[in-house]
Amino acid sequence: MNPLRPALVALLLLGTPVAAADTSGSRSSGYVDGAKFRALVDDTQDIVEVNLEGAMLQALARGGADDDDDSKSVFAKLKSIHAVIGTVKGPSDAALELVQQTDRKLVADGWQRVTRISDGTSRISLLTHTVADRIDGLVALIYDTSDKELVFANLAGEIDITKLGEIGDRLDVPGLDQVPGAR
Amino acid sequence: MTCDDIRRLIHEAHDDERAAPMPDVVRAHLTACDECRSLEDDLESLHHALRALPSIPLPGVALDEVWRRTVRLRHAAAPKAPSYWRLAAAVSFVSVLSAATLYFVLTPAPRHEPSAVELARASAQADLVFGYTAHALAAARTAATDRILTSKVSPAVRGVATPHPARRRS
Repeated sequence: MNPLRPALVALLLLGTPVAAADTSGSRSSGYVDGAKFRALVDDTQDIVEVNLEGAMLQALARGGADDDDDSKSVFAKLKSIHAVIGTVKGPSDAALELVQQTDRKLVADGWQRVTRISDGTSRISLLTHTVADRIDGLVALIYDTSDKELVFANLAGEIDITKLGEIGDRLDVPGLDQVPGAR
Repeated sequence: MTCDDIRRLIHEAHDDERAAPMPDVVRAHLTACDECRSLEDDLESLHHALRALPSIPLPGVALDEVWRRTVRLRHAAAPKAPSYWRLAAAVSFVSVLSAATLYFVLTPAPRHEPSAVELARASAQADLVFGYTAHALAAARTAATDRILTSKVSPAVRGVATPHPARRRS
């Protein structure tokens, strides 16, 4: 027997789990790519891009800069937070079309539409993805034609909407009172 | 010339198939030295005794047997030792490789702990996203409430009867 054969067999056997591990980091079903929204946003104006995953969310769940227990438990169950917030460049039609198109596509993919509000100047869509009676994805699409502000927000992971709403209501984030639908 | 020199010349003379005659100096010494003459006599007797033995040709089978037991045996035995070491080296290589691979696979990568500034920024970003999401939820609640107030409560307050869906169908 060729003495190098055991080495080759060992390499193949040990290489398999390593190769398999590379594919295990795929996105969860609640993830939605916001690249199209990012492309619509004007780079010359203020942009907020949020990409929080893995280690950062775990650190926030352990305490981080926030000692709120509700926030910690929300972070502990989330897999990712992605968001694009900015001012749309060019005409509003493209942004309105993208919001509606994304809303329709997500519904076609099995997402549930929680709300879709459309008035004279704004569009709001809120959708959730459910697996085994648990919400594992949430998308908020907000666009206001008056100031051309576009918001795409996606949370992936186990989501407690009630707790999330309570946390959001408690926060004093400047400018949120200008969001369409806010009272 | 000493006895040692003479004896060396005697040995050389016997080693050379006796092609050359014994040198004169040796012959002269042998007449006077009993010990050296005794050595010369012993070697002469041995030479004649060996020459007197019958000359028997070595059979081919015996030659093959000698060849098999010496040269071929040595050649056959020679690779065994290196083969063992090669196998041991292969086993060692596989063991070390397996251990190293298992170490890299099973040992978690050193975790990068975010700094306080990174955590504060991430927390603020998450709060912003939560805030927008909460406002979208609030907008949904408000829209639902408005729809109920408009379509159900207001007509009732104004005294306008709302047609029952079942009756409307009939």
